[in-house]
Amino acid sequence: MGLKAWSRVKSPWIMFAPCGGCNGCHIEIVACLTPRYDVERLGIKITGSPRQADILVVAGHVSKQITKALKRIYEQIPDPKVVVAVGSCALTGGVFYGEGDYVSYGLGGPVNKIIPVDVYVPGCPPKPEAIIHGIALAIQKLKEKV
Amino acid sequence: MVNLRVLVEAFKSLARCVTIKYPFGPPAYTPEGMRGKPEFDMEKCVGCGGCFNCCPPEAITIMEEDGKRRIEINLGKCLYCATCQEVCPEDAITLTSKFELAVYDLSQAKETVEVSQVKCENCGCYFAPEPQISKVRDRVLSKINPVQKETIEKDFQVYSKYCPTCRKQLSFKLNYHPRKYY
Repeated sequence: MGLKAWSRVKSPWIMFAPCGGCNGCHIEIVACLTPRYDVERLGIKITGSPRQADILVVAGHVSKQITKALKRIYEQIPDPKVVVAVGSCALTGGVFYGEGDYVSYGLGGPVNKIIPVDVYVPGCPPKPEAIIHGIALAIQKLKEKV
Repeated sequence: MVNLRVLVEAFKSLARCVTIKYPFGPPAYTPEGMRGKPEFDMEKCVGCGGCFNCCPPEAITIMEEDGKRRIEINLGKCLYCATCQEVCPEDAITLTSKFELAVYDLSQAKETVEVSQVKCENCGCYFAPEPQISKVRDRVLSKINPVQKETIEKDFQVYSKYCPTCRKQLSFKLNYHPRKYY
């Protein structure tokens, strides 16, 4: 493993993309940054720009309006990249998804319909620990890809 | 009014470290009655499908094949609302405090239970789960009038072997009909 690859795995930077929904999962992700959970002690840092990110964290059902933007964010991330979907809405559509005509008109589809997802974190919303566990799995995936 | 508990917590955190060592140590705090991963009790479940009927996001599905009824919870769709736990007549489903549910493959995020079904002796179709029928029999016999108990018990043994459609067709031939108890 070269220096570049080692530093990538040791300190993965995260791009957080909130894509609609009830905001519950977003709050839990922000809770990971609070002193109690403090993910920065693991070298994980939230960045505002997708160009500096290694891991993309998507939360919320993806509304139709944000579908294009999510695709663009995914394409802007440099290549060894891992996508983590957080929460029931991001995984399958959750309460917004139904059989036949019962699909919400604003639902752009679960995340894996738009971009390939590597790690799924179920929960409604998941605990901050569950999200940290999901990101730990994502780092292992990143190790394989680098 | 100032919340005293918050103040106490604030002063305590001056003295000790608040950050938990989660991925390498235990989680912060698991409250009692936390709604985590729903789990089936294989021995208690009768396969009645009550949880399937009440599930708000339709995360629970029922599949019937090869004489088995498979009830499945899709954890990726579940709301963790515990309505199924409330409804279950046998307390077979409980929401545990497990929260580490992250997976690489979405098809793994599932909780299943399998219950065998009774085969109709006339037409050969599978019509009801086996434990459900025996549970219903026990419940009926424990509450029924002791005068009629013997007749009903005898009838039930024949009755529980046929599916609802065949039961209607054969009721005259086998001489069991609910009306004779009126």
